[in-house]
Amino acid sequence: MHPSPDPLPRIRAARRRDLLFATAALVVLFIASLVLFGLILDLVVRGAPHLDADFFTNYPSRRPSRAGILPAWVGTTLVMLVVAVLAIPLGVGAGIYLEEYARRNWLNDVIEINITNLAGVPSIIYGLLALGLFVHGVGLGESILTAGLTLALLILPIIVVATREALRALPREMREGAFALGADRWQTVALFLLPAARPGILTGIIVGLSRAIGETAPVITIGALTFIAFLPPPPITAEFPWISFDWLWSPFTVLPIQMFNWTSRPQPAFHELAAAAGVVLLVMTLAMNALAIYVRYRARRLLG
Amino acid sequence: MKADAALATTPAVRRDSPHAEPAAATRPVKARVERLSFWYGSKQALFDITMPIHERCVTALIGPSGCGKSTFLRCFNRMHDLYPNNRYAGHIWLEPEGIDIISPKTDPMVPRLRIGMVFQKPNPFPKSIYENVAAGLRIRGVRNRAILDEQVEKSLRRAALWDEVKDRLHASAFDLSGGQQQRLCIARALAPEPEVLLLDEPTSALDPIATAHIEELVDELRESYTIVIVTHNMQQAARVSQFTGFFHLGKLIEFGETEQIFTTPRESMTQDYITGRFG
Ligand SMILES: Nc1ncnc2c1ncn2[C@@H]1O[C@H](COP(=O)(O)OP(=O)(O)O)[C@@H](O)[C@H]1O
Ligand SMILES: [Mg+2]
Repeated sequence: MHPSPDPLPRIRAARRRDLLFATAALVVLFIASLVLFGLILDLVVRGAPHLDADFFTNYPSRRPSRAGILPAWVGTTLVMLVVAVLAIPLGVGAGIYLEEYARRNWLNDVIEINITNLAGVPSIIYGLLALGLFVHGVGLGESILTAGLTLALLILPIIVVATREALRALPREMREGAFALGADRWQTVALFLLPAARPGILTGIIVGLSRAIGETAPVITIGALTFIAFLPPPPITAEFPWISFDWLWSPFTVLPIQMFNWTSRPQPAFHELAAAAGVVLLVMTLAMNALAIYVRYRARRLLG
Repeated sequence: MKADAALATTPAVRRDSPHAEPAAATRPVKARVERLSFWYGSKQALFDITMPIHERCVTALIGPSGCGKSTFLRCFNRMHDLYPNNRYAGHIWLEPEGIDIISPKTDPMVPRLRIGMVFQKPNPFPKSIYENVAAGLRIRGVRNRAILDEQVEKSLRRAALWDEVKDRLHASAFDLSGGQQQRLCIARALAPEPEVLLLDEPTSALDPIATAHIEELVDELRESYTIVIVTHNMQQAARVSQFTGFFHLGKLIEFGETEQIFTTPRESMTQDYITGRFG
């Protein structure tokens, strides 16, 4: 046996390096959370006094004391409904197709490159595209449907990429196990891969929807109103068939636009209203995240 | 785990010789491999293999690691079709109908629906124990609860796992130990009642007790199934099989009754391998 060199100095050096890195990371994380926490706290402190029932049931007004966010939160809810209905099935479907069905050929390569790049396109470009295509081209007007389509398009790449990555991360033994049992491609996807990939897909969906709910630029571009004193027609009606889709064609506003509008007013009272609307927007986003965490938790429990 | 522990007292080596059966070679043939070659892209992995798979017998495939045993086994259920640029040549005739498994005209689902497979690493689905065993039946469109229940119990019993899991059928399959997971995978493969069972080193990830368990199981299953088992463990091949094929560098060097292969091999390479001179 050769006399081996004392390993202790090396171990000590390694420990020091780990400690240094962990400390640096902690400091950065701490500063980042502090800034975020400060911003949220500021928002809540300034906005909280205005968060009463009237705030949610009032239309905007020239007088800050009477102004509310009724059309904004209704608009945001309806637009997000359209976004979810369009973007989730389309995005997950496209992700499944690209990952599990598409063969490698130039067409699929082109689609793939496009989708990945689309995720990096500034959102205002989507607004311009939608203005030309949906508002004027197809003639959908400055409507909730147009906003929903635009934002769905905007977050589609996020959901597609998340779906593909969630599927790709599954062990190939799972795929082989399913096929070896005699499953066809669709059964393999629907019975085995999708349930196992659900947490990852869900994360992508929530990241996408959270992005959409806060978008302002493209929604302004397609002509959302900054001041609105009416609600879209209700989706449920008194007479047959009791369901109406007229609201899809209605003009609208959304929370970020309402906030934008208020912050650009000179009176400080409006700035406080903007903060209150910001709190509402944050809570809506957090609620979506909480829902996702809950579903993910339930999905994981079975995975042991 | 309790049953595993009980088994610790039984020797891993079977007492009665499986080779005692008279004239095993006259058994009917379940599948006939004829001049099979296989390529991963441009790399040829199997060379012109011809051998029978006898019905209701255990056929062991032995040979040094990388010689193509898994590649060969995975031809039977067309697993290679899942990846691009793989190519087969030759035939694997599945009897009694004489369907050519690897013909491009044969849908890969046909052999997969008739041939079950157990992989080297236990690969239960992230589902409950029950749903793992029921998976093959659900794939085949079985919805009737009573049939599912019955078949799940029967398969778990045949895989010698029922007593250990009967009280927690709806617990996650991942809660089981490695040996139990592998028996679960066997139960999963058995549930749709396949005609042939492919086992790719089913015990390589398991401890000796779990291994003994599975070997005993294989011996029992041969009453009703045709089994092809890959193993790098020659004692295992000798213990459980009636026929053995020895592979080397993608070629079938020798095929014969297990007894003959292990006592009087015709090829010197076989002799060298089974006596541990290489591999
Ligand atoms: N997916 C693959 N692509 C290319 N070569 C492969 C692939 N899988 C296995 N091989 C090669 O084929 C040969 C046989 O491998 P395999 O069948 O796994 O051997 P064994 O199961 O006997 O250990 C080896 O040389 C291996 O490197
Ligand atoms: Mg192998």
